[in-house]
Amino acid sequence: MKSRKTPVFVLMLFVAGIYLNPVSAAELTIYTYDSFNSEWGTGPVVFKRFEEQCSCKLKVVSPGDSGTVLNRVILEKANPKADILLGVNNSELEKSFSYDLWEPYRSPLLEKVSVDLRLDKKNRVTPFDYGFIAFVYDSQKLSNPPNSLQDLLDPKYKRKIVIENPKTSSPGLSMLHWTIAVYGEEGYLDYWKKLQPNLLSVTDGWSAAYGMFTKGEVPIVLSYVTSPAYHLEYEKTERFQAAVFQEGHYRQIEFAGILKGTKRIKLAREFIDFMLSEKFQNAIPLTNWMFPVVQHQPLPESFRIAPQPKSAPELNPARVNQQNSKWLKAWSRAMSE
Amino acid sequence: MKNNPLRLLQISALLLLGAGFYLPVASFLSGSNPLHPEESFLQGEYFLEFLSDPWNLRVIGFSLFQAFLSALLSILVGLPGAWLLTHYDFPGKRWFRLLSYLPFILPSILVVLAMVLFFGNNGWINRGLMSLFGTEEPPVQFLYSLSGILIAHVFYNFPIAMKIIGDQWERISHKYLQAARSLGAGNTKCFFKITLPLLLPSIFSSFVLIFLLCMNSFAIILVLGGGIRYTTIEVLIYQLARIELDFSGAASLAFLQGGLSLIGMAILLRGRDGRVEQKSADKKWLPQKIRNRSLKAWFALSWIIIVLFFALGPLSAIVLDSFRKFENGEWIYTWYWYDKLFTWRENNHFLSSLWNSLRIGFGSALISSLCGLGLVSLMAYKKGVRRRFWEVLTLFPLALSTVVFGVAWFHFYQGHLAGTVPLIYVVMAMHALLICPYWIRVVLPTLESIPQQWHIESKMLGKKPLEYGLRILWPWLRKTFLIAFFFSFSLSLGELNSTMMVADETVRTLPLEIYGAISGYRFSYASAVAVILLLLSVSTFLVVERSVGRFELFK
Repeated sequence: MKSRKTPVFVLMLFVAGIYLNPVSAAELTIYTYDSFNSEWGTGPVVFKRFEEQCSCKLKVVSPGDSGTVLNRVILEKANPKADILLGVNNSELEKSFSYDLWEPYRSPLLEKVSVDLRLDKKNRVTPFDYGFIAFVYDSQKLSNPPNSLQDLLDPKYKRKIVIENPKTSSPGLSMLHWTIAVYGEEGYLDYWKKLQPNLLSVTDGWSAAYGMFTKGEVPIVLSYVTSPAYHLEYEKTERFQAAVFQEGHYRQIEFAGILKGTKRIKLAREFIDFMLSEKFQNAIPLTNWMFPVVQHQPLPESFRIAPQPKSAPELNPARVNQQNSKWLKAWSRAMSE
Repeated sequence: MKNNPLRLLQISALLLLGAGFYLPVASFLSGSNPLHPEESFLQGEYFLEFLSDPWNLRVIGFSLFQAFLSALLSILVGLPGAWLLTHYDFPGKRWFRLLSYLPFILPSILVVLAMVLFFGNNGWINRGLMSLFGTEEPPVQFLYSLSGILIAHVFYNFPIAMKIIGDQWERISHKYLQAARSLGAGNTKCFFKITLPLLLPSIFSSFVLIFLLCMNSFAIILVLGGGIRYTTIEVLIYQLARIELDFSGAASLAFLQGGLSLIGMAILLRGRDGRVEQKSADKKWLPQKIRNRSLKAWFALSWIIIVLFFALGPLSAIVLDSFRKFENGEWIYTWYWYDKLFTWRENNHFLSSLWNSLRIGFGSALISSLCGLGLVSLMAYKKGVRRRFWEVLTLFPLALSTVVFGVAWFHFYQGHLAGTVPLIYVVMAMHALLICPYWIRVVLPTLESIPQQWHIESKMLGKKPLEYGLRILWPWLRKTFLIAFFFSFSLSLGELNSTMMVADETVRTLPLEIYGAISGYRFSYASAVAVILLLLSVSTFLVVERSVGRFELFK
């Protein structure tokens, strides 16, 4: 009997061993969105640098897009697990304020950040990068690119444009806000109705839209001004260009902040300072494909084809928070007529 | 009942269902909104307000309509497949079976991109046709419309219908058909009067599964439907939960959607008496029948070709994509991405997610097999309301939108689970919950083809349940169990939503890796990861098939 049980026991030990995970004693927990912490993202570079600097251990949790992460923090509010939330954009900002999630902190390095990026006067959140949405086009298929939102309505672009859905994706939502900022609440639906025949598809997220673009399905896609820099850096091509629009480009700013209830306030503050330092900021362009909020060194060479728009039409974040669901509702109804 | 291992399995299965799904959902509903503690979660007014808007009613109507149509078409495509597999043998049959399941494993973003690469305006088919006919306009344009949605859904789901209906068909006794023929009934009459009624339970069963999957479909509807005109309840739920952070609204809609699906299920899943028994009719050899110019055989052949075209075309587009790289403005073909995958480096997320996917897949297939066994033993041979009760109980986790399930789950367990149970077990349990309905559907028909008397007789003869199980049930069900295990393993490999909900870096799986690569512009790298995912599933299948042949217990 004994001889039968021993192999079973060994097998059980083996199986248990497969599923054991080393428990790490993390000293600071950071929540961020998934692509920030993917193998290609900024996370692996900067988190390691911070661990070296503070000689402490970070725990990074990246469960989904920025909406998902914010959801999770809100649900955990009574019993917070994270010390820092990294990656809330300007459309979500006001929402996060209304749930009173943040522990204010003003980093001494904030002085170096341009004033128009510091949206929160109470210093609950600190900006770490920014970018502009833009229509990226394939210069081999389009010799005469559009140069304004109005241009996009030209019938020659019939079913040649792919954008993301404002109801499900953040660049899509920014596009909606962009048109509201430019055409006002009276005019934006009109604009969208005229745009509709030119849209081949309105995708659930950036991935599907940009995939359709790089696979040659459409010559124009809604992405970021910095997208062409990726192709120049890694594919050595200038074929893909961002169209500069007369109306200016809508800006996305990403913020991070310390969460209420943290027990490691000192370390958390150290991280926010680190975030504005060169060790973090210099990694932003080539890993997150955004502009750093503090330029410690010149931008990488490939960023020469990422145009910095001259103007950025904006909406008041409080107004966005108040009106957003009304706008989305009106948009869906107008577009399905 | 002492020492009855089956009882133990039943209890643990119910525990998993209860603690993993019903408890969190119930507590979520009865509790208060975490964001506005003074309000309760489900608000009657919300329902009324939502339902009084004709636009919303149109959205509900369309959701039901597209899911109904997709399920119907999947069955219309799957039914001939079931007939083919039960009546003919042909070279490469097992590969054909296997290939038809593969789309199911891919994350939806890749299914969408595969369809675009193959059928898109600039896809293989159109480019081929355009250069052939020298036209400027792409001749094939069914994407970005309702037909785009339907074709993608059928491509994804018809194998479920084929599998479930085929299993039932395999067991329809020849005696009925012979009797009918001797009474002068023709082929058509035989099919409609005898075969079809006997197949109905499996048709309904697969219809329900496919209907539920299409109700919750998201990326396919938006991207391939063109995105604006076609909105479904799931899109609204997503918008409320993720963009507007209105959990109360999202939960209300999720329950509306779940409730609608439940009503549909309750109507369809009447425990029909299948009256089936094992059939041992020989299968015909397809190539020979084709040489004999049998009309049926030609029909079978054209079905195979069409299905291969639709299923393999987009898949091969992904495989080819994994071998190309954009450089200096043009595509070059290279091993670059695979090289990158398997190069050891400090920060190779792929290798660690491969390892995670394997152990989570193995673990959750094991859990769902054990729990499935427990649940199947509760359901088998039951009829009427009791049967329907168990069917609905096990299917509901599939019917509720994962976005809301994730929120409910998180709300219930935050603070209790984290830190005490390693996340990997949590992910395995979640996968098992979602996989179990499929496992049950694969195993149940075979189990019920065992005459019920056997169970009773063995009990009367004083056989211990374990002995009965190993000596009688195992040899009978061995093949089905192993197939169900493989199926569960593959489903777990492809699962994304529930993993995403709880993931941290200890449980990153391959589908998450695919999304990560894509959001960092590495589309071809993502295709290479997908190819590995497919290869994993194929090789598991081969191992399983081997063991079906060799693994004889108590012969």
